[in-house]
Amino acid sequence: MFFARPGHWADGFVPPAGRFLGCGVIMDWIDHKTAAAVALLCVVVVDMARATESNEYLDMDIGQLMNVTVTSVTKKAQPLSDAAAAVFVITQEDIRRSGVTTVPDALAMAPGLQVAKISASKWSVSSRGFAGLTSNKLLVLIDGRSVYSPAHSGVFWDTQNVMLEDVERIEVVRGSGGTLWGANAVNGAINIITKKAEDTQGALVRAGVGSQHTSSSAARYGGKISDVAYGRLYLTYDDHASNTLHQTGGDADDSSQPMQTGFRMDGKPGNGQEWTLQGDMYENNGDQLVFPYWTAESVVPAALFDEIDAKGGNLLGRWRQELGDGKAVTFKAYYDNAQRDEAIYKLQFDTLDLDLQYETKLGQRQNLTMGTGYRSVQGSFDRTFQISLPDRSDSLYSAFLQDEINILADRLWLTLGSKYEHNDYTGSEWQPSAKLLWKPADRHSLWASAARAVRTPAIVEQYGRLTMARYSIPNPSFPAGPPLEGTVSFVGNPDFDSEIVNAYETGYRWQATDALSFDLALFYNDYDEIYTVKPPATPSLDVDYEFVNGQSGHGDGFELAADWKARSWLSFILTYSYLQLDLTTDPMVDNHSGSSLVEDAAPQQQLGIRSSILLAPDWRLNLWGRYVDDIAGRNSSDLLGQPVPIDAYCLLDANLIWTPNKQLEVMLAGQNLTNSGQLQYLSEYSTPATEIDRGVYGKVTWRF
Amino acid sequence: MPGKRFMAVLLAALFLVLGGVVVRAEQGEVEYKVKAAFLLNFARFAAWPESAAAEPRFALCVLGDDPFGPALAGIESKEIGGKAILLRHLASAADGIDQCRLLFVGKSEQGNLGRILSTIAGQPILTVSDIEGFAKAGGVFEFKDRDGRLSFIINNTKAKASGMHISASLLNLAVEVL
Repeated sequence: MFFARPGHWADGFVPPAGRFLGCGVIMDWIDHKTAAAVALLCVVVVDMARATESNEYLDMDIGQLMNVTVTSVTKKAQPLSDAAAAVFVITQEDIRRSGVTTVPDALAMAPGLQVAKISASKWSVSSRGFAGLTSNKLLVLIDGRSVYSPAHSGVFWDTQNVMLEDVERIEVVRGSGGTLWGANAVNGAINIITKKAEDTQGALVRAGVGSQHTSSSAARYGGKISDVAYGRLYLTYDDHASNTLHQTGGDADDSSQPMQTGFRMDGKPGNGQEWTLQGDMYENNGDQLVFPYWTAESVVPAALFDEIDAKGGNLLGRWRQELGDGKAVTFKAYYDNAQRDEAIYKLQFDTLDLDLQYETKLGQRQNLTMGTGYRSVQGSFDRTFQISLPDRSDSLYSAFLQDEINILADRLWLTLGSKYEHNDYTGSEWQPSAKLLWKPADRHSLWASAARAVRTPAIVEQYGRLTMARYSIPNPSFPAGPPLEGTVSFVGNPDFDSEIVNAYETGYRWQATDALSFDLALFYNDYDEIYTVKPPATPSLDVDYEFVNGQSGHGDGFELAADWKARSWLSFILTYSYLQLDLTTDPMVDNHSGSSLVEDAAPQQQLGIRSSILLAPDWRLNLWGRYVDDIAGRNSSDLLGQPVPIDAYCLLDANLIWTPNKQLEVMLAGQNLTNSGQLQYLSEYSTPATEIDRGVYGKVTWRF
Repeated sequence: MPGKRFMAVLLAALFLVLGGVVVRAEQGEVEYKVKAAFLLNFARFAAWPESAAAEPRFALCVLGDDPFGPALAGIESKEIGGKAILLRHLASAADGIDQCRLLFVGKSEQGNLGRILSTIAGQPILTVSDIEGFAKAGGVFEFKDRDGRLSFIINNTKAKASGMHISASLLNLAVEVL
């Protein structure tokens, strides 16, 4: 327990006289026995007060102070929260207090996102609906590098093992981001931003053990390269244990051992110049159970115990030159190599991306940003029976222009812009937007926007072939003979076009007091040309469903976030999301499974409450409860069967952090504490229904 | 599953009940805790003329509405140049402003800024504020938000004119030196 120790007051803090007096007066008129209890209570209360009132920053030197992020309080000072968009920022402190050990798990803190763990190394992360292992309407960038895979349009989360201690913040932007980030930011963009090297000086060693996250280790060292440049190196290794099969209770064989190493250097040589050079290398060795696994030899689905080997590396450079008068040029270039070798995907991508941006002021009231970019993507694939893709060499050209006009000084802004892209699949794509931000008074901001965004085709949708099932029927002309065998496939369609959203959003942000703020966003998305598959016109033994733009409809809903620092030792963050999707399939498509699968995969309501309690100066308790409404998923072993329902569920995470000094931090954490195992999502392809097990772990972090 | 919905409702109710319990929301704690710590550091990197050196205690003043609240708790136990800190709250510039060695000017004084700065012109008082344009107006330290972190502008011309010396290492850290 956290009682005062003798001589406790001596270390620099004088408790307010009033509080002491209060305790003294109470004790004067009650009997001795009760007095003892009250004294104890007073000690506790005063000790809590000590935690409340001593300012822990007073002992920091100026270098440390300049690195403290005060963003959480002065959100309005943040350029992004002044944006006319639904933005939620997950800070380093949020990540630390949440006890999460992977990037996708951290994303569950944001409203509007549906984060469902499929297995130890697979997630469905989506914004405003359209969930899936291949959730394709959400763009993800790490320090400006896209990790959205062009093979299937989605993110392989198992290879995004950024060292969480080095994450500065994660900006989750729901809604269309096509104007700024280009294609595929249909329903949102996630920017994972790591700290500058100068903010990660010194050494950090982390070691953890647990029941599910059996090993979590990391090391980082940051140093000064010269008077104007800093650098860091890091290495992480994790071991995630396997979970449980939903149907049989057996081992899901989904363990995963990712390892990642990398560096980052930042320099400010003066004259308004700033540069960054960073790179990573990674490898994830994991197991997976592939079911149903179809082979050319049999019409009975097999279960394959498979090994995943995913590796890659990247190198990114950024250079910025400020030219005075609000003018600046930024050049960014990166190279990314991603390889994956497993039963289904055998692929390699090499991406080169160049990006040039120029900012300038136009008169007193306009900020003009323009940019141009080029991306080359080389993809090579080994054919598997499950999936076949041709080798590709694609180029993407882009240009964008955005003008922010301050119509009424410090009150009203209008931002107009558009991105133009040319890709090898659909040719030219325009993604314009108009945004209005109005601050009627301090602490209040209202915004509204209209935007168009597209999701460009994945390689598989135009040129690929996916084996979905095999079957047999008795031979009608020779019933006594061997049955006829057939294969059901999804095949690419060179005429498959981009999916389109016209998104209308509005929102209100209110900083009610310095300790309490609200953020509300409402949206209406008009979808067109959404993908589905169309059965063949003429019957044949091998059934080839073709990818077509056969669905349209709309999605609407709202998201609320409330941040409340009730006391200096107690804080709450509440997030709530409401979503309704209504899609219809074009009658010409004649597809049985239709649009209800997309609609049912999105929870109508999601609720999250996080609380952080400073129990004593060196003890902190964090709680995080989540509620996810019922959904349904595709039965991957019976494609045309009814969707399989997943009941609504609650997840509870809790952890206790002990920081005896500035160097040492000890955490004991529990994840998914209320359930022994929870089925969160059904993968639409090859992963059998897997319950994510309860996990308990402990870790020690040492900084020196 | 009604049981799980119940849990969700319970969580929400807990949040709301706790909401009702708290009567008063506290000041923007992190920001002003950090700003309070900056005040100490500013004072430690500055030197005052002989006349001020003889004073037994270091007077740290907050003029106008106090944005710090509990963030200044414990500051009086700290020392500046071997002297104990005396914390004073001034309602107006007439409350003995000339005895202050470090003066934080609250945002409530924005309208009186010109008058305040001319009252103390030439006196060895290190002025600090988060009023925008404070340094340009003749204040010494102005807090500046840089991507959610705090930095500052120093008007060294003014500091020198008042007989104070600000160390080079502090000048190097400033975003702008006037």
